[in-house]
Amino acid sequence: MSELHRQPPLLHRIRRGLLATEGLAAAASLLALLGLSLAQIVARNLLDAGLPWAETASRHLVLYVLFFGALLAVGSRRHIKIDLLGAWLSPHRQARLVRPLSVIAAAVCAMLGWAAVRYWIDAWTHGGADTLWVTLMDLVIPLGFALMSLQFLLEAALGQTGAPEQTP
Amino acid sequence: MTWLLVLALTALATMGLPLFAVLGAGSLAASYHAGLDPAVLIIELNRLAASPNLTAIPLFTFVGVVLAAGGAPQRLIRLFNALLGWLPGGLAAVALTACAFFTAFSGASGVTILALGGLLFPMLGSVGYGERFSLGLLTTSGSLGLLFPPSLAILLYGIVAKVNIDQLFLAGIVPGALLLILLTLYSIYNGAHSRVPRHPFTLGALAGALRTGIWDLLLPAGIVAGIFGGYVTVSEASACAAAYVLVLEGVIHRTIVLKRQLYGLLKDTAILVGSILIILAVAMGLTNLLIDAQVPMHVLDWLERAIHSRLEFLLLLNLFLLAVGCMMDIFSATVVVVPLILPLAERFGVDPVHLGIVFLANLEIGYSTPPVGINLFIASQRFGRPVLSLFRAALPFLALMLLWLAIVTYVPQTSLWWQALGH
Repeated sequence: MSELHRQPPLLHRIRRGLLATEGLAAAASLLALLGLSLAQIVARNLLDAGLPWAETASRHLVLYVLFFGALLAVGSRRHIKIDLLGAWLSPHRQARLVRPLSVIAAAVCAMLGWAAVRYWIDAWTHGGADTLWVTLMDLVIPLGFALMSLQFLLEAALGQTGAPEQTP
Repeated sequence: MTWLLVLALTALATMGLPLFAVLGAGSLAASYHAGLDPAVLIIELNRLAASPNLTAIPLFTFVGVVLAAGGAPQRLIRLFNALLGWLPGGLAAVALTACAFFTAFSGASGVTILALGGLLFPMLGSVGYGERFSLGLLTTSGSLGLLFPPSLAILLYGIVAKVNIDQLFLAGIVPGALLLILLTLYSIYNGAHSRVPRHPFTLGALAGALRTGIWDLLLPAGIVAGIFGGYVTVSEASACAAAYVLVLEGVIHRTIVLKRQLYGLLKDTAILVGSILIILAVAMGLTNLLIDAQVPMHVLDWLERAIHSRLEFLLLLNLFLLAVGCMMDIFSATVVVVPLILPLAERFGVDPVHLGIVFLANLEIGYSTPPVGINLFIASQRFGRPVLSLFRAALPFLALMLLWLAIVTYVPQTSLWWQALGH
């Protein structure tokens, strides 16, 4: 029986479900960014009226694209690496590095995520009422790091059997 | 202790730990070392959302992804072949021009070699170019348009260095064109030497190619005219370009069925953007901590004792950046190295716009040099040749690029010509 069939299918399902949700969120964020940017241009040039909140919202949408895109990059193994050794190692030896490196990446993301949670609580507690919506949008930072930690843990659990997600 | 940590992180990076995780671990360690709450790293990260022109990065990336999926590479080859194919070495000139044009949009992420290389390699072989020349040309061409607007690398440098992106776009045009001319001249020489047959110029073929390719040509022309004519900002230009390519590929050429393919294109763009910007997001905190710890100042002190002129500084900078280019990709290097060299360059009187072009020129060469030149690996995958033979094939092109680097570095007017026009 291959290693793939011995893996608990639940983890594969969770991974697939997470990647599908993250894909939808990433696509929706990018589409919203495009729509908002175009709406701003139309409002400013054709209707002679600006959308004062749109600039801030657009830049925060970039953070959404950033985090959901980075999450997808974990699943498709497309994160930028220096990877000097990897280029010269055999595929078998490369495969043996996947688990320990994923655990380290998960730990780093968890620590950054924890820092982000405390930052966010502080911003929520001390922020003004007029900027609460911006703080709400900032939720993507702790959420993004937490999900990334989970995603790396899944990669560690599944090892090479969690095949990279295909992109067009 | 610090050195042990640096060594451990370097070892992890060489083993393939994603770079953002390496920098994240470094940032966390630096904040603990400085007795600071790691939440300061998130404050810095959140400052990213205040960067002007930030929205241009995902939107221009989307433009490149849509054009690649919609068949722009084929249209460009047809158009430039009709326009330049009659020259001696014409097809090689076509390859260089088409690659430069396409890389400006695709951001030298390897898409150029994948999308154009596969088409051009058999074409170059069929008209009589040697395999080694063709491989060298296509391998180095993967990063050729890096200095032309709206290059992603220029946008990222502008954001990291807080330099006016309009000025950077202007500054990249002459050095970018100079490299294109140098490599084209070499290709013409090689074409004549290998007795590659020339095909006649026909107005009919050009008209046919123009009919399909004109819309692609209008895109960069519109971006340049829009930004420098003062009609749109860089961010607005990126939104207009994204809408334009959707109409172009979905309605005019109908090469993309938006209902079926849009989701995949958006997702692919997000992966490219996410994998680049997460490094920037995590590195912002680390950079700030390094600046707080006066690391660039210590380097500056050392440099001031060792170096006495701008020329010496530029020479050392070139050697350092070529080494960086051999080890890191352009986006990571921009995020990590630029904040450290900016104060040094300022001290030695190097204009930050000129520094940007010199920086990107060095890294452009690094794309095709081992051990981690991404062009070498992508070309190796695409053409099924070993990395080292591709490097050997690229050597004559790299030699020319080094000559070009010397010109761009030591003749700042190539990057700063627009200052004389009062821009």
